[in-house]
Amino acid sequence: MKRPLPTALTLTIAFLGVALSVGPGYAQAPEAVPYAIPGVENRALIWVAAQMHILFAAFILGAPIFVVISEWIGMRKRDPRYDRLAKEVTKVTAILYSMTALTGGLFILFLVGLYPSLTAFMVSHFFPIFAVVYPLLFIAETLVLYLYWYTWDTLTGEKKGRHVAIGVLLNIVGLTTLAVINAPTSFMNTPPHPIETATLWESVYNYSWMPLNLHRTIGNITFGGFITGMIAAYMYMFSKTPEERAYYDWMGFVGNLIGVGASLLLPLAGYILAAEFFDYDASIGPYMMADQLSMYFEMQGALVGLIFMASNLYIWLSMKRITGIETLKLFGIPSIAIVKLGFAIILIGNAIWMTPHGFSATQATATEALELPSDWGFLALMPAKNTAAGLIVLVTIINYIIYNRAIRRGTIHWGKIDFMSQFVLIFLAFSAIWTMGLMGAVRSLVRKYFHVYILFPDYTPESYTPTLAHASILVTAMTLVFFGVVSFAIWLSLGAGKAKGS
Amino acid sequence: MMGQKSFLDIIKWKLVGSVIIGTGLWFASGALGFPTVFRIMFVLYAVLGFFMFVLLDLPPMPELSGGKAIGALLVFYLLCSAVYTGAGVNLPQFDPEWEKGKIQKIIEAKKRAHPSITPQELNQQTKALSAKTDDLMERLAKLEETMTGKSTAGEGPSAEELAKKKAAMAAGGIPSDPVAYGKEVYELYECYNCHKIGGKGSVKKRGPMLDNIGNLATVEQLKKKIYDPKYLMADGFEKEFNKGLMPKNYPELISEGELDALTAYLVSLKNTSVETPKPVLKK
Repeated sequence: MKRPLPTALTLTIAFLGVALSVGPGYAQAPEAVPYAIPGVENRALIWVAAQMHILFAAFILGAPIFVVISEWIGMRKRDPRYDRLAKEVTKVTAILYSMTALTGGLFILFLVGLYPSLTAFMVSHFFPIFAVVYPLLFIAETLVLYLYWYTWDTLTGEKKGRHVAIGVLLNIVGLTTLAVINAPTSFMNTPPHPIETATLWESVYNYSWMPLNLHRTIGNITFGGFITGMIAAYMYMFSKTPEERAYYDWMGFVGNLIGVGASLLLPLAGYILAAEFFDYDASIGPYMMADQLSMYFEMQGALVGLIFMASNLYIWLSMKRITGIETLKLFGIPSIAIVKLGFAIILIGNAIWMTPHGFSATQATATEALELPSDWGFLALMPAKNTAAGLIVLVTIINYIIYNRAIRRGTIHWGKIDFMSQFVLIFLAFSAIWTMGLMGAVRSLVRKYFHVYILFPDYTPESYTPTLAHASILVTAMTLVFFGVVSFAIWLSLGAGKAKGS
Repeated sequence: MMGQKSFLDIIKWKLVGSVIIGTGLWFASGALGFPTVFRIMFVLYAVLGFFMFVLLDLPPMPELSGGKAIGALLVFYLLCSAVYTGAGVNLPQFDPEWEKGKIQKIIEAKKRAHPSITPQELNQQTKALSAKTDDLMERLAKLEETMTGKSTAGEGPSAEELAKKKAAMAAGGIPSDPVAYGKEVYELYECYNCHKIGGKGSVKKRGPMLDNIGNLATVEQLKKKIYDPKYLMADGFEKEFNKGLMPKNYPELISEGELDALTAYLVSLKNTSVETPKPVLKK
């Protein structure tokens, strides 16, 4: 067995050292001047550090949720595939844990160096959280992850239940850590009023805290599912034996199922978060949906539509590897016809989802030549969008029902799936990461020209809304770097060992 | 599950169908008055549909391994990157220069009001202000007891005060014409997102058009409305009013000087040809 964790411990200590030194440091140097690296925007640096940290953190917090479920199913069903899936994903998680700590440390260093006033303000406002609660949770998370990983091969048989319990504990600590760090993040979006009389708890339990907790938890599971699909795709592509292919084919299917299953709830969670922003300050609504960020949402509509199309394409390809279902019908209609009709509905649903009020990046320059005709304005309103999202979700569920019937009726040939499906799995992971990067930027940008909305103005030269083009280039670059690191982690944890025959 | 077909067999009917649907969408949307950009979007959906249905029926892809698989993965990543970046770059872009200028004006005004403020000072100031407010409230309560009935309402600024204000505005790089400055304030705080003026702005019914507001409301009423959205309601906007769509934080955002200018601009709007709903006092 590999032991990839010691680096994580070193980095955790370094990270905590930095975190704990922030408060006293600024008490002695209140007039700290931000550093500036020539040729690089401070915002771009903090953007990249924060986003990379969130991508790694999302995986290490999201993956254990379904890992422990998979391990539990494996224990109940006595199916070793589930335990293997859980173990292999945990192995990758362990390596990426180091990257989470490393990028987290980098993020804090950039915050301190590039935004000293903001850092001092946030630390002074959330001192007990930054200095005590979060570091303790981080240590607990590290220890429980070590415990979970290193006891995998010892807590077996009758003791397996104890190992699952450690996994449950890991998730409790992980989700608590997520909720705790979401507090200052959401506070920056929706600080309580009046701030001068707000208690620490009121700052934590601000308007968008719970919606952000919900959205990030569901998003992390989705993300973890699609990354699991990607791990399976890599391993399938480089498998040497039919048994390995069969296993990784199955793992890819499960990864996609987790990703799609959780993503069905994401539109609702996103809607709740946006509604809370809107409720907090109605001017945020038009800023997001009609003004400077409107084209970001246009792009999001395209991405979500493509993710659902690709997920359903994967189900379609999965059905092609089942024999004996040529005559399968649902409601008396051939299943193939239903699935194809479903794709047409997804396409129409996506078209409605993507139809904006107007093709203008700000209402200040909006003209009738770029807007929907008034009789068709309903296409851009929430009832139309909700109907479209509902239709896409419904079709996806129906496709899984058909698949479920197909596997009961026919014979499934694991390892015989169309090779294109592996690219579909990778496309899903790529699109999920890209969407996460884009929408993470949106959540941050709704603060407009404030670090903390209304309360703490952003006096830096980069307080303006970046163009979608600028954001797209950065998000693509970060996605590629993340893919590079994760690919290396997969090779290191699952591929390199096999080459040596272990 | 399916018999093998040639590539031509797979695409020919789909191509014909997509061309018919795409052409139909182009002409139908034109007849319904959709702008060109939407018509192009509809045709692109037909193209996307074509590719999607072709993908469904393609024969199984040949398996790749070793270097070929790695090469294919790299090409695939580059393709995905190019498609997503290309889409992001080609959608309509917001001009940051416009916003930079706008933010500069807002931030500079705040900086002038609070020069070189640090977070510690900010905390101290808020605490001090809170204490002052309590003190003032106490004093007001006492004054109310002894001076009931006396009011200063209706007293406007003197000519001397107005001249001083104009000089101060000019010194701060602010247009000396309050109406022109007010128009700038309207744009700075993005009021256009909810209130159309001159046919420009909100595409959605969030707030009333204001082209004729100068004939319907006074400066004082408008000031009160901006700082306290529940003060009055535009006739016919009950739903929006009850939802509290108008932000409550303008007292924190818009300074009194900006409010003076904004309301001066609004009362100058007297275009009777545009139907502006009547204000209904709620307080």
